[in-house]
Amino acid sequence: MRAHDHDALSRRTFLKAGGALVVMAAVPAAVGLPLARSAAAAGPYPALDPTALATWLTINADGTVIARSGHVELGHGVQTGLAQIVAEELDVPFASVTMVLGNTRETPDQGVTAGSTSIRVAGAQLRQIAAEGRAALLKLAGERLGAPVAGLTVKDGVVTDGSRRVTYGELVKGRVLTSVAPITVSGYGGFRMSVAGTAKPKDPSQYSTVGKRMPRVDVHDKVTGKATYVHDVRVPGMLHARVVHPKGIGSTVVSVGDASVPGTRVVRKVNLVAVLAQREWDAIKGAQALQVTWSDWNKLPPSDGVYAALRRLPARDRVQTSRGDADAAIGGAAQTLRATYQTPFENHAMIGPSCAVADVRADGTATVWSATQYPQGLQKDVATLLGTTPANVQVVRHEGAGCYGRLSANYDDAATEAVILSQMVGKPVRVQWTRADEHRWEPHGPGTAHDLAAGLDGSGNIVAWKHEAWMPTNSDSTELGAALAGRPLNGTGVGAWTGPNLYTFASSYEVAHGLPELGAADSPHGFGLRTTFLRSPGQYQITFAQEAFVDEVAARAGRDPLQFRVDHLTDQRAIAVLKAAARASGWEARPSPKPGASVHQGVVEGQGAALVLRDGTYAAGVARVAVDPASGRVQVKSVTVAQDAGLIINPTSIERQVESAVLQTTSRALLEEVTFDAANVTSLDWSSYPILPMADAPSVNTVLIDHPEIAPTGVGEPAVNLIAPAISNAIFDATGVRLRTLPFRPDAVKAALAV
Amino acid sequence: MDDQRDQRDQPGAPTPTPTPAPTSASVRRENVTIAAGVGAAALAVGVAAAAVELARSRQAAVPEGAIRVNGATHQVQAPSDTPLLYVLRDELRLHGPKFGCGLGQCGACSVLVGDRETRSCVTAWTAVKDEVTTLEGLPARWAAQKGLEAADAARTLHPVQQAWIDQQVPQCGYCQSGMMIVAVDLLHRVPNPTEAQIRDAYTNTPPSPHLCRCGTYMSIIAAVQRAAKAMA
Repeated sequence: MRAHDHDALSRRTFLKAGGALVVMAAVPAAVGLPLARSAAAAGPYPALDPTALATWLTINADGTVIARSGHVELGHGVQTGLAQIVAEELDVPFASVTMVLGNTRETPDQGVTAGSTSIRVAGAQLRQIAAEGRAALLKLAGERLGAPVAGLTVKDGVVTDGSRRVTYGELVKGRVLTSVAPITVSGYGGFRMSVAGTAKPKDPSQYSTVGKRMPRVDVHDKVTGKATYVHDVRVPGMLHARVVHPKGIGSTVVSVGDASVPGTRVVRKVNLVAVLAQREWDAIKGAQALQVTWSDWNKLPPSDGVYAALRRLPARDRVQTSRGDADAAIGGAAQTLRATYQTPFENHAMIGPSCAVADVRADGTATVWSATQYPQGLQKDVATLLGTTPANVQVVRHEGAGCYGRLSANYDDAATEAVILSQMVGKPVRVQWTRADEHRWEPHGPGTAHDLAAGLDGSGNIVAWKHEAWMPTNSDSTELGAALAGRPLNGTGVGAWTGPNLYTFASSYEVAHGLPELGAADSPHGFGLRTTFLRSPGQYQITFAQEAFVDEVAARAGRDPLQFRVDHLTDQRAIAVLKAAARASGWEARPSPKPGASVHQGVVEGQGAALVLRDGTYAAGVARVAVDPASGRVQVKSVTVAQDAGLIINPTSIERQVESAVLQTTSRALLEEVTFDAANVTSLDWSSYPILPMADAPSVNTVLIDHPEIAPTGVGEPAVNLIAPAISNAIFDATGVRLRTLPFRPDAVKAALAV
Repeated sequence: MDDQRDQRDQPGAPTPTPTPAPTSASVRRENVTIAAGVGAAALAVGVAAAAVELARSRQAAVPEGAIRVNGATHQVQAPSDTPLLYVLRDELRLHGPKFGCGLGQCGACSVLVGDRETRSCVTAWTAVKDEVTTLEGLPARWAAQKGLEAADAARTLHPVQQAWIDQQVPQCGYCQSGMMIVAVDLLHRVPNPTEAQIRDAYTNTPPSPHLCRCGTYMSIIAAVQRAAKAMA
């Protein structure tokens, strides 16, 4: 029963409304069925009509509102932010809005929840829908009250013409409500999807709910144990599965032993090998005991030589910027600097390893419970895998462990494994990856290499800039289970540059050498070391190299690195965040390294700044670090971030996203590197791939610059990009030594500082 | 353990009354359902009942083949080497403790055994001789500790949970059950911890640091201090 939160949520709301559900227009008949029935209800599941108001909104008889979004809660607070937007446009109390997210039977396809799009894209669509809903309700109210719509006002879902009043709940009772004018939807489900209508959303100056620190609606259940994560889903008759994954991606099964643990069963499809049991511990022990012989596959360039290997891969070049003749200008400059930066392969590092449940039924329909970032994407993949249509597949999305892009293009490896296994055994199957599975098989964030060059004029200004980046793909969308079972889905591309450059250097050349995945050419599956979007993908690596190198150039010019940035900018919002970060952090305006910077006098402290434009948001950061040259330990003591993301929906949510970005990236910059040999990943647990513990967490000071007149932009990713370069810059400020290869682990720092 | 018990039995705490622990199937089932959190009304009754039960059961012996969890005794059929985590999650259907690593390296699975934070993923259920408290059992634990009447108990979260809400700590929330369990353990031993003591407890308590990937550590520090004030 508890496997169906979204249905349960809807049902609770209906019950709260006295059971008398009043539906606006053509809500799919299945919506709101008691959850037990929905579990068993076979498809097909009719496609939703995104141009119908009722697909998005339901007004209950008691005036409560259900709003549906295809975006999903990743822990970033979107459920709360979207409810604020809907409540604002409809003029109903925040508490009366319930968001239903990520269920392919109920929620329209708003594309993948990624790239900081939940508010700026999905939220903008919902805002328009809610405005259309309000206009339709006002039209009804005008008819009911015999008053012109222009003379009506609404507060808390009650419409009045000054003397008489009617509630939203009363207005829709027994009536099919349609929008005043047709709603048009283009690019349905895509990144460029738009929702257009005739209603005019409110002017931000009228906002009363948007912009407030509304408490997160998901927090109570998460704090009391009532939240149902995908890991908690249990379906009647379900079997627990543990997959025994190959040695390497190109390995194939030579032989599989028999099940040796009582109560277990071994299932195999091509190279997908699993142990199934009614009891989870039996499946675990059975998988540990199972003898599987795999063929060797040793085609990866080991991680200790990975940067040279990247430069040898066949590349598809994509020029990001080409202004003037950068090479000539660098050659003729008064001063020239060159440097190479490198970033390692990294893990998304979900605290809960991949998990999914699938029920593939004999009638050809299927239900999948998944923590995917894109339910409709997974729905299509599962349909392809089963040789059926998406209408026969329902994806019920539950929250999982924070995934940071891991379940975005790779919708859900565990789900495809569960689907195949469920189809084979004719029962619902729950696949739970082990910690080692996740560390080894997650599609990692790719490592990159960067060559930078800059030319300065006689006044120490940058006149020429060149940035070459070697970047493996960020967009592996293969599904591991499908590939192992011999039913490959999707593919991989080549890497690309992401993110604009705010600087206005006279000559500039920026190029991405787009690379395939390591080992792809020698893999039967077309992918080697898997890589997919990791929080601010591509931009994180580009910004590290760029913002650290800008600092190097400023040091060569003998100028304050923060002001040096300002001097090369024309964009006033960029300048404003830099200055705000400087003010809030107590930035010392002077060149780096600081006077007395040393590697010989014990622990030294320094400051470092960085700037980024990401997802339309301007962010600047200042890090303060302490460096112990004797041990190589770098401690990030504090980080200040000033951010301008346009209109602020919920300040607390944004502050938490900034804190999240800062701490997670401090971890990446100081500690994280995936190691691998020629066969596969070798960092398989939290001891070989450590992440930041609480003791090393910096304090975070966030300054939000509100621009209500500018549409809201992304907040999940921008600050991510500031931290690695700011730390590199602060280490340089403290010691006079520049670190150009992430991560800044003690052994590497100690070696670099031993001068 | 003696010093901990002394602190627990401060003035205001109920006097433990040894009574036989209930073991009938109906009682077990009721408590399991309650702990899993089905419906507000059931939960309210359950919390109150569990609070009383917890107070009664303080010194009750746990019979062979059974464990005591959140105030109720459960007969367990699982093989003796089964980690406590799977008994809690799969048999008792508790959602609080989470599988994170199975290695004792992350703390997502943490529960209280007696008063001490314990990694349930590397602890065989048969090795557990003291009462187990999961996230779901914290309200009743607090109610018993404070001797709250049933009606009050039903409305009360553990101050650590309340602080987590007030401070808006969780993001994805996956690690937070373990984080709250650590807070209860810490505040029991150190009622008014400094920031340094909090950081130390979450980082250096064996067998491993408690890991959060979303970056909530600073919120956790603030929440622990907030809970300390509420519990003072």
